[in-house]
Amino acid sequence: MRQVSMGRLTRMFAWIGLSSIGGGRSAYIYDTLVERHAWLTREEFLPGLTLSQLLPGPNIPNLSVFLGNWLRGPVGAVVAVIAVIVPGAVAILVLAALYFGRGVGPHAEVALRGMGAAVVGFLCVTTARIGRGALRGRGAIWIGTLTFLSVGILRLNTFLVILLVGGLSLWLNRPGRSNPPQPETGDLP
Amino acid sequence: MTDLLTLAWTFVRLSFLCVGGGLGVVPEMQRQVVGIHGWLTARQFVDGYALAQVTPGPGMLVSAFIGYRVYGLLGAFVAMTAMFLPTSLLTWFVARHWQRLQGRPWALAVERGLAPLAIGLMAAGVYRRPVCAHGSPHHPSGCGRLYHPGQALAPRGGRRPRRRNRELPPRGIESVGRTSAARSATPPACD
Repeated sequence: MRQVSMGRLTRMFAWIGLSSIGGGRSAYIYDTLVERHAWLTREEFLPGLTLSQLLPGPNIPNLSVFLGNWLRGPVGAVVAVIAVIVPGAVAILVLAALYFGRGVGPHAEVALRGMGAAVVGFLCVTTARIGRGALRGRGAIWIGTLTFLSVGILRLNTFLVILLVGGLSLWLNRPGRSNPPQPETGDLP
Repeated sequence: MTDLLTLAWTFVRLSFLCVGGGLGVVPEMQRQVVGIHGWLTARQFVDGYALAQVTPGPGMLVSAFIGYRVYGLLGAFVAMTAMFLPTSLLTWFVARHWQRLQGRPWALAVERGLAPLAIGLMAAGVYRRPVCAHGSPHHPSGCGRLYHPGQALAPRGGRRPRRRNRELPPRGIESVGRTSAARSATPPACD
């Protein structure tokens, strides 16, 4: 972790807010803060990602709160979450005013379709990168796969999956159980 | 005034449904906003959702779009605050204690045990991208059940699923869904 100034923190989160378009936005935060600017290591980022996913609330504001707090304390949390929301809020309000005011139909659909492939590619790559940090050891890979299968393919209730698989995983990782240090394999540069 | 309170309460509740990527939130939001309160038509909701996806920032800024429709700028502000503030406070509370607890045995277990779960959920979000955006009001959380999982990967239309359920969504909503947000390449996630 680096010491960052409040100004840079604001600019960085505002930039993340501006550049993250089209879903899977935790990936953008990871890409910007960990890969590009090295403000945090992947190991410092992972608990934030985990908590922001598992705690209630939209992921991006949650993750911004967590990381802002980590980087600059409570004020950092407030600044990060506001900076990440405001640019998009202004944009959506302008669009809403146009949409309801003049009845301009959105051509968002076309843009979405165009963006689709690129966004999905980016998401796959980044998820895989983050996954390399999180899925260390055979147990972790099983848990990750089980979660993906039950929520992604079988479409089971997310709450239920978190409860059951999360419980199982916590039990497998319970303190006192000998956890041989897993060798770090195949890190990306 | 009652409008604003209802608006706030609706979005606070929705924000707390956003757990684990929140795949069920968009259909539930549609059910509340279109079906129960009638703030937007189905078409407007789908358009608003698509707009929020192509504008920068969190996808849940769709709350501002809806709030604007209900009560102008004030409505947008109230809806956004309701969507983002309570859960952000909760996360901040946890984050603060998290730093203190780090290194304790159970914190380590949480860190190691739950990270694979988060990754699995993220991957599921990528995989399930287009399906739930047009979840019908009759299948708020299990919207996927109406559709074949493989449809998520088919570029458009895909295989028409066998209908198991007699209770079909009104034709209007379904067809609107199919023409726009349903085909969008973005996950119906809560971000």
